[in-house]
Amino acid sequence: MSASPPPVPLTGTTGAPATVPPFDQVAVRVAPGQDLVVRLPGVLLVVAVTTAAAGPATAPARPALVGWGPAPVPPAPVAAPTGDVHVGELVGLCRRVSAAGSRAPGRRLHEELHGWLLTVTDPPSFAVAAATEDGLALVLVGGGTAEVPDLGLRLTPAEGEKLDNGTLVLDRFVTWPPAALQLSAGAPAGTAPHPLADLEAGAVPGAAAVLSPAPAPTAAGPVPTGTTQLRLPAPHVVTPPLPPPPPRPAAPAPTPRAPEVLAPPAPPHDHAGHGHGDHADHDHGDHAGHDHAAPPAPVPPPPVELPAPKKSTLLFGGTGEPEPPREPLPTPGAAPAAGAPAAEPEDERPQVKGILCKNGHLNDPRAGFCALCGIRTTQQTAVLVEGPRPPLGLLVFDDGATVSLDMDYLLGREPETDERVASGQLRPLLVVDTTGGVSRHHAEIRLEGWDVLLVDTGSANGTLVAPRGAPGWSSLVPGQPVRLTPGMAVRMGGRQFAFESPHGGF
Amino acid sequence: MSESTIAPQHARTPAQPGDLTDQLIASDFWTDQMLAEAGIPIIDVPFVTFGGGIGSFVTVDYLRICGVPTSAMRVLTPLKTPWESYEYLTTVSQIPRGERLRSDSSSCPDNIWGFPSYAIREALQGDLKQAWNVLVEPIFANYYTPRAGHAFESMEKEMHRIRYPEMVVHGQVRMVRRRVGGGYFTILTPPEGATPTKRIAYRSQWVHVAVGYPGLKFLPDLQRYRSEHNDYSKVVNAYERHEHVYERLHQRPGTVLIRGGGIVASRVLQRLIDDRDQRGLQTRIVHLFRTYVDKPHGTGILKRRKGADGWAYQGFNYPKSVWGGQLKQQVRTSEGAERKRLYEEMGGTNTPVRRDWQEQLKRGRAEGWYRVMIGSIEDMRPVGDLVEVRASTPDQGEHVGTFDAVIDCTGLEADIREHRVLADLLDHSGAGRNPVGRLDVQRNFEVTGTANGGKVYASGSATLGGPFPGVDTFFGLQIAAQEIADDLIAQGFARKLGPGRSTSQWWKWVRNVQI
Repeated sequence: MSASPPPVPLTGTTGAPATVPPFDQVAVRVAPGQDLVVRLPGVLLVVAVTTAAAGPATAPARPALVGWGPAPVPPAPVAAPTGDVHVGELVGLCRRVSAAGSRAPGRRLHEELHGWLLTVTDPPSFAVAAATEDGLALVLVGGGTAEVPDLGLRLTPAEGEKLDNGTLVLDRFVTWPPAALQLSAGAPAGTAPHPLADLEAGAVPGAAAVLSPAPAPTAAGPVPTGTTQLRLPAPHVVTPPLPPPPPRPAAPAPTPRAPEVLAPPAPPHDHAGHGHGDHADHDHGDHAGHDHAAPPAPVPPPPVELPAPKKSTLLFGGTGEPEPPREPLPTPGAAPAAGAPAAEPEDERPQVKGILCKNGHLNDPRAGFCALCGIRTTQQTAVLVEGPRPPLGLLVFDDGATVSLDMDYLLGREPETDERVASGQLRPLLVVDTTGGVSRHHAEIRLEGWDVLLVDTGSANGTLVAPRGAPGWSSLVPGQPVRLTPGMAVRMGGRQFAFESPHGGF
Repeated sequence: MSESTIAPQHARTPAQPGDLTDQLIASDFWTDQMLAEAGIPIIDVPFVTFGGGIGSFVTVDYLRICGVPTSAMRVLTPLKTPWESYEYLTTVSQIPRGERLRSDSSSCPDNIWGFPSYAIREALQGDLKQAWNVLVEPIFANYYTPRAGHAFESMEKEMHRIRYPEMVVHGQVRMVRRRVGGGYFTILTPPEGATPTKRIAYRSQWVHVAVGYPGLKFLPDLQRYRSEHNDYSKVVNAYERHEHVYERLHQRPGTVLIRGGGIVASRVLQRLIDDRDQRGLQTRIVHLFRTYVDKPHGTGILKRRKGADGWAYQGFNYPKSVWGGQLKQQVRTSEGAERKRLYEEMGGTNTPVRRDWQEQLKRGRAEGWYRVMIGSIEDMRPVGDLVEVRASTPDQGEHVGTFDAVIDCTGLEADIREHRVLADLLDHSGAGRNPVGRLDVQRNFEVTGTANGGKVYASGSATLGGPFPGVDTFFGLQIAAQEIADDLIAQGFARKLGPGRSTSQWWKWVRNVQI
């Protein structure tokens, strides 16, 4: 891979180059056209499609819908995987890398693309930009171009290398340019994109995609909680695009890849089917409003990062798996339901960003001492790395039972009746209360980053919390998460438990 | 062990401006030119102290009183307040703000004169009992010690009085290297995004190293238990948060294994028994000693220390005479093997005797809920909700028992090489180790071998084993500050603290006048 082009302009123009704008938070404007623009978390792809192949292919694929009237003719340049095989493969590859990965899938995508290109004899023209830790990874093939018109920079595959099978490829890691970056797959961009247009996620037809320059890095920028996605103020683009905050802040801090991932599976025929293809290009900064492909709030985001395969949850014990040396989950008092779910390989433990102590143990960035070996963590430069999350603490119930918090829990009288429990996203935690004050689904414990959040899921009698040393109880607003701090006591119905944690401050 | 040990991923690309280059990392001496080429900005300030704990604080306090302006000093630290680390450790080891510290109160970190002392201040606020205690200790009362909160609050007041926050720069110190032409470069890594460059260099004539001890070292069996069973809750170290253990015992009766016979063990026992008494719990305690002390011990008739029931008693963690008696003199004039021997004599695990918990343990022994075992732990594994511990004893073979929790009160301190900056000093700046294995310092607390047209000083626990024994106490830190200030005064950095200046400054302290 070639060296980065001069990082100089960046340093010069934006005062603080130390931070890279969060890829998923800059606006992407789509210029109308026949090619396909795909935006996924961390990845932006523009790929040329052959209209002849794509059009007919999508139409028959749609099931007949009753009550929707005559099927509209789909304008349909969208690459259904059934269309151009290569386009489908490419989109699928991007989607896989984006879904698998970190906030910065650039390097991985770069490698996977390289591998893929070697297997394909006649790849479509495309241009892809993906976030890396400190900039962008660009891959251009065929007629793909990347330009920064304001600075007069232009990259084409001609400047790159020739692969064994004759494909011209340019792949580079570049710093984030301080002006708008335009990606196209070779098609001439007819009309300029509407300044308010913003593709947040999904696949739409278009000739080119314009990636806004960095949003102004604010002081709040480098927040160490790696997995909480923050909505920074919208980028300072030409447009004052309505930053699409409405869905996000309400949803309690989704995990990074969660929000948009919902879109990918659906968009291809949805867009085509409802004839929104063209529509999507032009107007609406409010696309969040009708973006049927990505219903924002109601879907609980965390599940997406959990191990995908659905598995049934063992009830009653199940501590005897030979395989993983994980802690047998202590069964809370009368709670029979807390069996460990069928063996999960350790790699599948949720990943979290933290700092490494000198001896390589992952820790909460806020901790002063390593939780495993006790060494001071403050002597190391805090470089955030991702690794499997250790248990974040434990709940001590009023009958002495303890529950180690290594995944999300649903607390209640009949937690196993919830479908998320059935699908393994949440682990049930039965809270037996003779006073009947505990609802069937009472509250949720969510682990986010290094924080443990408690959410009342609309219980009948409410949930009360009291931080250590607080004079009284305060009740939770349903649906609003509260961060549990060490020593915090929680009451539901006639039961009470306390949260304790070895991590974090004191 | 493997699961939580991760190799650093994606080694940072040098794309960020102002990062260290390989050439810099490999060179013992740096020129201004080398830093300019690396794009690291240089800030000039005559005196830099890093660590930023109580050691940095008392040194800066002393120098401020000697008339050094805030602009001439910088404190490079990741801590929010000087006492942050200390407060964390005392809090988790069961000395929250309201409890009395277990360390000597011969000095006050907020008051270089030591007068009025904590006890007198408490007396002035109406608590005459403490003044009486100071008068009759240690014969008719235990040694007086201040409340933790008292120490922190008075430090906070002093911090604002000397305008300490003006001198603080947040970040991690990565290394100190000597400069060609005299002086030192201290490389600071500010919080990400706070500055345009990744590193900043402080060019100074004097550097003060006050990083404290590199950290604790949890015993290997504790680490093994945690990594193998992914259980952080039932086997805990007393120097980390373990409130859940007490919480759980409150909810249901249980048996706890305490390990170790030091100062923290006494404090943890006291907490357990206090809970037991106040809340009417049925906690049972098994106490595991590795070495059992049952009679007074010591190397000479003048160095006898009391011992009984497994504990080695002493007024504080050092014999009182290290602060001003014969032992201080003896160590000051000793070198090499002789000094090491003296340290070994006064060292070892020991515990300040206090009447309250003595009484509690006596009651426990009589009523049978406090038992003592001698031996060491071989293996621990979780069994359901309990921990099964296999311990070997010297005379009774192997014992197996199950416990609700194991509280490890042994506090091993890690080697100084575990700290990156100290390791760098050893490797690149000519520092060496003293007979005890820590950083070798001279009587003026200058780090031996690092002189370069300026000096590197060090104080605190990293220098244990030097000519002054009690370096990791409040008083030790203040002694170090005094020696360092004297040395700097001799070099013309600060003004002499003669009787006139001292008196006027003391009055300013009394009236809390900002300087």
